[in-house]
Parts: sequence; structure tokens; C-alpha cells
Amino acid sequence: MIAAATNKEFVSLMDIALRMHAEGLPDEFVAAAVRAVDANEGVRTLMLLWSEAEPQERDAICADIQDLLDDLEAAPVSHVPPATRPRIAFDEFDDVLAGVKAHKQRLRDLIDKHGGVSEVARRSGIPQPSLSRMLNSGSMPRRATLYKIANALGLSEKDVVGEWVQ
Amino acid sequence: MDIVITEWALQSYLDLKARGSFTTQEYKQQLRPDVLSLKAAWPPTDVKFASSKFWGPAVVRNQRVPNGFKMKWHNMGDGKVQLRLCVTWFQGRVLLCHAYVKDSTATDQREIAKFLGRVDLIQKSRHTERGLL
Repeated sequence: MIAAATNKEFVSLMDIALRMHAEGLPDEFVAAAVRAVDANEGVRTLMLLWSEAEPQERDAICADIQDLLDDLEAAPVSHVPPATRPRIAFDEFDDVLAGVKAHKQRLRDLIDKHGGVSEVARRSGIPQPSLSRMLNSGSMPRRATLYKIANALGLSEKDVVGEWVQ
Repeated sequence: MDIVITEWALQSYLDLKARGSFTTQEYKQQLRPDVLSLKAAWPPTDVKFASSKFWGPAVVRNQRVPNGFKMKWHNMGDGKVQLRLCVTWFQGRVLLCHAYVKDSTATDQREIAKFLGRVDLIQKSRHTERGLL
């Protein structure tokens, strides 16, 4: 098992969290990262990398931290065997990707109608790099992310959820 | 030995396919056969795993990811990118974690940090599986 943060590490991470807050990262994000540092060494390591990174790398690291926070939120309660979902064969990828792309275009149109990515990021508490990454990637959006967008914009579930979601 | 496709592996492969980071031919003729060779034994004994250009431990900030390894492919896709696949072993099974394009040392480090976080979840059986390879 991976060890929890030492006291010294924890204090150092709190300092990094304060710097993240000072740089304008959403309170929800910074708070969630702080809560996660004891539970997950990946979050701790990414925060340390953020503090050491060049400015142009920091956005990507924020998106990675959000990915892990989403993993932690979505992670099944520990049970044996782990949670399973149906397989998707490689030859089905093109069909799935077409569906995901269409869904993300609808999301982008909705986001543009509500002020754009920066505004929706601010209102939803999703870091802007993370929201941009979701919109620009080929992977399925996470249900939790879609719900945050819906709640922030006063939309219904039907408005944001598509055929292919994690 | 079972090779498990995690949700992270599936989603990252979808994204990489969308970006053209590998072609269908490369997947069928190179990536998939290489990963299938992990079925034979753990640690892998095929001679190609002795090359550090193909296989190596996952390390971030000078720290080894427990039971964490990277498979490596070079000059993939139209952009001739370096592809990496994070692989771990747990309770007698190989688990494919996520794949990414290594375009810099900084990218590699943050992706391995994410892998570290995901290995933690796998060791607690708090991951989702999408079938076997």
C-alpha cells in the first residue's frame, strides 16, 4: 500500500495549495486536492510537480490533478472483484468516436451560449484547463463533469448527457 | 495470465486514436501483439523486454511506481510520436492503465504521477475494468 503524506510533506503541500489559490484556481478544485493528498500519492506528486513546473506546464498538471480527483470521486467502493463495464472492441472505436465528437460539439455549443469555457469553468468550479481538455479529447466525458456543468448553468440532465459517458 | 483493460486504458486509447497517435495497422500489427506477449509470464521473459527502449520501470521524481512499468513505442502514427503504455501487475493479473504520447520529460513525469495515483486505486480494487485483451 502507498503511504500517507508525512507531516512535513503535508505542510509543504498546504503551501502549494495556497499558491494555487493565489493563482486563481477554483476553490472547489484546490480544496478537493488538499483533501485528496492523504488518500492518493498521485495527487501529492502532481501538486509537487505543479510547484516545480514552468508556467506553460501548469495548466496540463491542473488537468491531470482534476483527472485523479475525478477518478477518486468515481472510484467504486473497494470490493472484490472490481467494478466492470462491457468491453468495446477496437473495431468499434470509430463509431464510438463519432458519437463522442458529436456530443462534445453540442456541449461546446451550449458552453459558448453561456459565456464560453472560462465563464463556465468559473461557474462550475472545474479548472479551465480540465474543461478544455475534456472538450478537445476523444475520450468519453465523465458523468460527474457533465453534472457540474448542468448544475452551474441550470440545465437538465438530458441537455448534457450523451450516449457515451464514463 | 489475464491482461485487463482498465477504463483508463480504454479512454486513453480512444483519445489517442482520435488524435492519430497510432494507425489501425500499427495497433493490429504492433501494439496489440506486443501487449499480448505479456500473457506469457510476469515479469515478462520475452527477449524484447530486455531492451530499455521497449520496456522499463515507471519512475516519477526519482521514485519508482510500485509494480509500475512502461511499454514504449517510437515513431507511431502520422506524427511519428513516442507512445507509452502504463502497465501494472496485481493479484496475478496484468492491468493496462493509461497510454499517452511522450512529447517531453515534463509530460512523462506528470503522466507517471497520474499512473502512481491509479496504481494506488488498483491496489485497493477501486478501479473499473473493461474486459480482457
